[in-house]
This record gives sequence, structure tokens and C-alpha cells, in this order.
Amino acid sequence: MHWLDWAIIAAYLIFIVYDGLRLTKKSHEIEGYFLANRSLPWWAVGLSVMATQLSAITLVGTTGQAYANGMRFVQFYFGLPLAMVVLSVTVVPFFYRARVFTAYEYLERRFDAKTRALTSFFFLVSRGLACGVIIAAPSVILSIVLGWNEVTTVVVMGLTTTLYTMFGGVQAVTWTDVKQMVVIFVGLMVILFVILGQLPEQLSFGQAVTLAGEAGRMKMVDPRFDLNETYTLWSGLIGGFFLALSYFGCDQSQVQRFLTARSVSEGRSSLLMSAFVKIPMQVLILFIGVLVFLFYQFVQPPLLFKADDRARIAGQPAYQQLEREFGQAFDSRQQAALALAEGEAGGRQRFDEATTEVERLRKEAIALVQKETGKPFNDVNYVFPTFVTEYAPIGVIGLIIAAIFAAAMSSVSAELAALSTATVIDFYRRHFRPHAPDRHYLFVSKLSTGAWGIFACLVALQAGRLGSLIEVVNKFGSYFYGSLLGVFVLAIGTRRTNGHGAFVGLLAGMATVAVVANTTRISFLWYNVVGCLAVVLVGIVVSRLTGGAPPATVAQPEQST
Amino acid sequence: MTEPQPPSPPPEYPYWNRVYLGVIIYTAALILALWLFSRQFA
Repeated sequence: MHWLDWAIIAAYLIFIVYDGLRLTKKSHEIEGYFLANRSLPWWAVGLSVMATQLSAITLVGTTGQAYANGMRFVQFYFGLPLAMVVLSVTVVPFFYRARVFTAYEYLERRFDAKTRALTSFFFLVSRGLACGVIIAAPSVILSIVLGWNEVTTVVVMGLTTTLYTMFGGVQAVTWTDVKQMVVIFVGLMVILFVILGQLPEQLSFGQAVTLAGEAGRMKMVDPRFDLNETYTLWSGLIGGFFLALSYFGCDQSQVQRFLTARSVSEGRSSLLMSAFVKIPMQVLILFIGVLVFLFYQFVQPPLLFKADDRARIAGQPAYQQLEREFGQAFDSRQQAALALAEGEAGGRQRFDEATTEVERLRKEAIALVQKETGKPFNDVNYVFPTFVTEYAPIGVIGLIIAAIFAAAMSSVSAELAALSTATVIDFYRRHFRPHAPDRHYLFVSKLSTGAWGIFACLVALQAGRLGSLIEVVNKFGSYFYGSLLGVFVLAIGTRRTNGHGAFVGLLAGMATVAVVANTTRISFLWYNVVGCLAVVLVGIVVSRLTGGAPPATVAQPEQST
Repeated sequence: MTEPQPPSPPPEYPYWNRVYLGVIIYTAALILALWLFSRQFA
């Protein structure tokens, strides 16, 4: 890499750490450290909500998905705006006026201590391990694409984030998130124009989009109702709605964001910012992936994007033969793509035939890698970084890598703050030292943030050796989210359910989702619907069998403003 | 002496309800636009 790219990455890292650390002086007490004294403006909280959700793997993986499968992934977000409306009406005023630090604290007021402890414990397990995965994924990709040392990448990304989150608390998380979102937006806009500038001169923008459409990359809405298909209009609207409800309304890493807002109204505004911006932003990210696809119609891509696996089989005669055939197949497809874009007769048929041949050769190369490594192969996440490092101009490479760092660090910092809050508020203060001075809790909170940061880095460093464990973590998360939502539906939406119902319902919901996931082919977006419904049904039944809720514990919603 | 002014009537729709309705209409319009765009180029 050029020194200018290194300078941009270094400048980004130094500025973010400085910016986070200078907010240390605003975190003198625990409410300042965990909730910024409920003083932040809606736009900063709103950007922080978006930055927390947008991890590096979302940024890199989404562009890769668009390259491979087109823009249908955008349907995943169709339920999000409606979920934000529901959360603004229900959860935001409930949590804000309850003056809670964690979402799970509210569950003890409504139900009992065991329900709070169980939900908070599941949150700590699933998000603690997931935090390591958030650091590991971009580190692995950058180490393979750029040849960086993986340990160094994990340490730079993980420990710098831990440093400013540990000392600056949620103030540092939010204000660095704002700057990190700016870096991500600027990076996306710059790379958009870079790719547009690198498409063939004889190809107009309209022809380029038409070609992408002919190649099946522009399909954004699939109105079929098919439970086994992951991305359809209905899975996005219904499954995505439930997923967004669980994530933004019940996951402490997001709940903590809107609890830092100045008022209920500002908390609502911060969530509704995502309702307006999220889908267009995903369209932009996916469209960048489509443009990379178009670029590689006219510039020969590598047969396989994952360089380390490609190197393993590069010496095999079978692979070398595939490379030669791939070169010829690419030339044919390039000519066919131009013919199709210019509307020549028979262009479509030539393009389809050439694409089929290119895909056949890729499948054969993938089979060679799988035979060599004995593991499944997927190089979707390597498409965008490969393009950036090979074809982006000097300076832009540094900017995009800084944006990938920003996306990872903004998610990790929010997770660390949330993990520390749940540890200290739901367990340490609740069960071990209920009456210590505020200064003591602040000290323990900083230690807790640091400990979670080191834990996440250790998980990230072991990620390569924990392949199946990571799958378990991801599966556990998908079993957990819908069920957690079900507990909050019981808490806020019903009056006669009790702690026994919520506790048993949560376990039953997770078990139900595990059964559905392992015995059917239903897409994962529907797990949240299944989990939530199972918790509500079991929770109501168990509550009735155990005598319902005593009147004193029934929470009353307050008048919203 | 001036007559006491009657209290102003509450707005027909509270502010937040209008915002929520706006979000729903915006989302529906956005999905429709994406669908039409897809059909145009698919």
C-alpha cells in the first residue's frame, strides 16, 4: 500500500482514540458513564443506532452478496421502519420513564429477578461471543486480502476500541459513532464514483443498469410467499419486522443508545432516523456491489477471490487448466456483455451462454478448493476488498479500509458498553454489592468494559480455530432474539402474566426455534416470529397455571409526550 | 374588558401520529418504487 493510504488509516485511528478519550471527563458517575446523563441530541443517537447496526461484515458482505446474487438482500430491511414506529410507541416511553439502565432491569420490575437474570445472562453469552466475531471477520478478510498479520489487525481494531470505550463510556461510544458514520458515508460515496469512472467509456449509465438487470442483479422485490426462501417481500416485511423489533427494542446494545437521548421525543426521533435512512443506505451499498459486478464484466476477475485458498491449489495442473479456460470464457462474456448492453440481436443468448460457462469453471475451481481443504468455500466477502485494493486509486484504498475499521469499531464499542452495563447493573450491583458508592460502580464498570474488550479480542484471535463454535454462537443468537422479544411482549403487552410464565416461556421459545431450525427448511428470518409466538403462548398458559400476576406488579404505561 | 379566549382545540392528529403515518406511507412508497425500478430493469 502507498504511504498516503497508511497515513489515512493512521490518522483515522489516532483521531478516533483521541476523540473518545477526551470525553473521559464527562463520565464522572455511573449515569454519565452508561447513559451520558440522558443528555444526547437525537441526531447523534440516531447516527449511533445506525453505526452500531452496520458492522464491517455488513459493509463488506453486503456488497459481495450484491455481486453474487443481486440486490434482493434489501428486502431484509423492509420491516424495519414499521418496527421503529412500534418501538417508538411502546418501548421507548416505557424504558425511558422507568429510568432503567438496561432493558432487562425493567423485566424485574414487571416480573421477577430470575427472569431479569436469565435474559441478561443470555444476552451476555450471545453478544460477548458475537463481539469477538465482529472483530474477527474483517481482521481475517483484511489479513488475507492485504497480507496483514491477523493478530495485529485484531489488536489494533479491538484494543483501540476497548481503550476509548473503557475510559470514555457511552459518551465516547456515541460521539465516535457519529464520526465513524461520516467516514463510512464518505467512503461509500467516493467508491461509488470511483467504480462509475472505471466502467467502459462506451457504456452509458442506463446501459450499465440494463446489463445488471439482464444479469439478474437488479431484482429488489420478490413478491412470492415462500417460507423456505430467505429474501422475499413477505419474509422482509414480517420476519424482518420481528427481527428489528427484537434487535432495536430488546438488545441492550441498541436500547442503551436511545436511553442516552435527552427526552422520549428525542429517543423516538433517533430510532425514526433509521426508519427513513436505512433502506436507501442499503440500496446504495448493494448498488456498489452491483457496480463491482459490472466492472468485472469488462476486467477479468480472479477465478477465486479468496487468495489464500487460491494459492493452495495454484500449483495443481487441473487448476491451471481451469485458469486458461476461464480467460477464454471471460473474453467471450465480455464481448457478449457489450453486445447485450448495446442491444444487438442475440446478445442476451450469447451473454447467458458465456455466463453459464464462467460459472461452471468457478464451480469446478471451488470443488478443487473444497477437496484440498475439506471445508466449505465461500469467497463472497472477499470481492469488495479485492476490488478496492487492486483497482481503487491511492488514498481511496486507505479511506475504504478506514471505513471498514469504522464499521467494525462502532459496532464493537456499543457492544462493549452494553456488555459492561448488563454485567454491572444486572449482576454486580443487583446481586453482589447493592449499596456501594457511585465511584465504586464507576471503577468496576471501567474494569468490566476492559475485561469484555480483552475477552472479545481473545475470541477473535481464536476464531479461525473455533469455526463450529462461531456457527453455534450465530445459531444461539437467532434462537434467542425472537424469544427475547416474546418476553418483552408479555411484559408490555399483557397484564396477567407473571415471572414464571416469562421464564418458562423464554426457555420454551428458544427450544421451539431450535426444533424448527433443525427439522425444517424455514428461512432464519421466520425464527423470530416462531420464537416470539411460542414465548407468548407458553407464557400465558404457564402464568394462568401459576396464578397470574399479582395486581401490584402489573406495569401501567404512562402518558407519552 | 376583553372576553376570555376559549382554549384552542387540540390538533386533529397529535404530532407523533402524523410522523408515524408519514413513516408508513414513506416505506410503502419506497418499496413500490424499488419494485417498479426492478421491473423496469429485470
